[in-house]
Amino acid sequence: MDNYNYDNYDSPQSSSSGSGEPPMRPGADGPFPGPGPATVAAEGAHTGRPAGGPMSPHGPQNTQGVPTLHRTESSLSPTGAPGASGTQGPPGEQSPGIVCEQVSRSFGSVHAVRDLSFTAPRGAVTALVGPNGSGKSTLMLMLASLLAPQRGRVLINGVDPSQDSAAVRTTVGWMPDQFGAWDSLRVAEVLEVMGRAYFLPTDKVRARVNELLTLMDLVPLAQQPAHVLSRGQKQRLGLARALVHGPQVLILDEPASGLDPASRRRLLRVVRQVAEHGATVLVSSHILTELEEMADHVVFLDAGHVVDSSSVRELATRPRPWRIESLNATALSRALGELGVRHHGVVDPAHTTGGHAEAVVDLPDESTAAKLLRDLAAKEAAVVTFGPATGRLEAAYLASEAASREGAL
Amino acid sequence: MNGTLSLRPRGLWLTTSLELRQRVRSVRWYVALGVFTVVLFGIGLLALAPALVSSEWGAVAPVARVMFSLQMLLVLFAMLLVTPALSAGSINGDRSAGTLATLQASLLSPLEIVLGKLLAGLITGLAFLVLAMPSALPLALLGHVSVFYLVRVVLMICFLTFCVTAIGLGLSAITQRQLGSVVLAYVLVFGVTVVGPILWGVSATLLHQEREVTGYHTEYDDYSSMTGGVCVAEAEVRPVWRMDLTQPLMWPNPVVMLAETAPGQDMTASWEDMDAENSPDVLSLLKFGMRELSSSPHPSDYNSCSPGDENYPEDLGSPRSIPMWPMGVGAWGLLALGSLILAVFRLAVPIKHLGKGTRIA
Repeated sequence: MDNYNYDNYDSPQSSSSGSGEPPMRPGADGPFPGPGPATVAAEGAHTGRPAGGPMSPHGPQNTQGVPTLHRTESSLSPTGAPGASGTQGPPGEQSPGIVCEQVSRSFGSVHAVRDLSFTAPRGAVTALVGPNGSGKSTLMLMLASLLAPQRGRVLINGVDPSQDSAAVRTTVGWMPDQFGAWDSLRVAEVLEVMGRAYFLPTDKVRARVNELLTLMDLVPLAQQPAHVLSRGQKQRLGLARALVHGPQVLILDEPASGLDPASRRRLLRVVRQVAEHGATVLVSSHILTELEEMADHVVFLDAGHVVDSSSVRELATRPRPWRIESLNATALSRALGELGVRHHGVVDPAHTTGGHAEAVVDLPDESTAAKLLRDLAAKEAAVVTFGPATGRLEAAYLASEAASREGAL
Repeated sequence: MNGTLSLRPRGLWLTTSLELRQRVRSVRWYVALGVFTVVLFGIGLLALAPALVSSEWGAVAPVARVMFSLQMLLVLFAMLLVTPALSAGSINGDRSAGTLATLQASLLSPLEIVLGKLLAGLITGLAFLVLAMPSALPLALLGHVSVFYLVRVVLMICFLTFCVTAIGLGLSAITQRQLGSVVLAYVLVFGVTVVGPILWGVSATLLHQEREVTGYHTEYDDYSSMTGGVCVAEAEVRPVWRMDLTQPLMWPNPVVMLAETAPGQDMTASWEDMDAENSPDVLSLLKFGMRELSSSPHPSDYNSCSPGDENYPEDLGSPRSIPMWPMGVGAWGLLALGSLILAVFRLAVPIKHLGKGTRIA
């Protein structure tokens, strides 16, 4: 296997240093007319969160009938519960929604969280990524004010749960990885109970319940016993339950687990809306492609501490493998050779599922990828698909030591 | 205290209603309560039927008193049967189901959660008492049971229900598995209700000895006419029972505690002398029996003379009848209070010390 030495790669036809964002997808305006390749489309799906930056609106263009709520009246906005300040300034002017400073927590001889430090900004979604047992759920329990750290400090909107747990619980919405259902309660009743558990005014509880039932597409299930719901339906109810008091900090432990594709899209939109309303969202998931669409920032955990953290946008500047599909294996191999691109070998179309010749190359960043695509087109390599072989999060995760551990994603 | 001891009526009622809906919102419960009511009615009617059919109205009151006391015992047993199962699985059951952490993460305080569960357990246990009333009250009226006696019985059952529920909650808070805490609760109830009396009875074999005592008996001039009796003191060796030493085993016995609510009875009076209001019932017999058997030895125990006899020992006095209910109430009350405090602090968040193998959510 050859490795692509990107440091030496220089286009014979272009002296571009890769600045700017040239079109990545071969299309009508590009050098390669024809149908848009799936992998590129998938990469394009990432921009389902528009390129306006992490804070850019995500949901107003509602294409799937998911209700979009106004900021001032939405149950997604951090409001309602007694004690909640409800004031949200522009992100950056306030302290981070979540601050962990050298937090440690052990269970017997098991060190679930060790000297963990990170911050999660307001108005953004921060993803927690790590293998099983890396301390994600333990950390979330501490942030939800359920578990006290043995060392270090946790601050939620500047308040330490160990000092004022009630104030923190007022502002935090927590969705555990497993939905605990009261057997005798119906779906709507679960939300009513939770509204009352946050001491919302009685007249507002029902309105909020109806709003959340609509938001999470649970209206047809409102009178069903909660315990008979499918896992995916329970996840939706769990998210609605976490949102019932309009939390300023939303902590979601594996929210996408068990969700069908449509529900995942709904989850994505809801979570983005919550963040856009100024809340701090922390989400863990093993489904990295979903996290990549959802999150603005990512924190990688392994063995209870942070091994890496970055904004999702910055991950684009990191090396990752790219897959190239061509109609002609010989042309692709020749072009890569002429361009001096080291690759993992060109696979014959007979051995690929897509019926195209395939090659995987490691590229340092997206601008280099754009340059390579342009050069391959100029070399008439008959490229039909050019895109990342993995998502940004997945590539970053796979590059870490945690990926090689047992129980890794 | 980090809000641990906040107590708001809304929070209390929310957890109470949630617990009630969770625990008793099933057809089986309503059927069980209905059957219980019908059974109590049936027993009362069957017991009174002979007197009513034969129109012997004088026999109605004693029978009604006995039936009233029996029904109260049945209510007590029903409560002891049901309450541990509900309360002792309440906290760890919710923890297993993943619903406890959801409540803990909300604004409900641990005190509201625990007291809500306590109130729900109390309401459930007392449902049996309430359902017994339609049959027990007519029996009480027919048996000329005093209002104070009725109130004492009701209060004692309420108190015991409160205590059993509270202890069940405490066990549920400190035990990982629901089955474990329910079994422990039943072991406790079975222990004080059944094992305690057995041990107390068995202790009689160890706690008696032959001792020299001063006995008093009557000697007559003419034994055929039993006249001219003279009370004679005589040193003699007799078995002395010290059941009072093991009396604490019976203090927390729920049956004994319920019996202690019965009015005092003059058991030396003849049956004919007893009017309707002081004829014995099951509880008063139990009370009398327990106090007699567990009283400490007294010189008058060996006096078989009659007060009219010559040289009757007037200075012997009579054994003090020491009530047992204060000790029982104290023991149950302390245990219940301790259990509640334990449960509240076990639910306090953020949790600092987590028991081995305990999952929060």
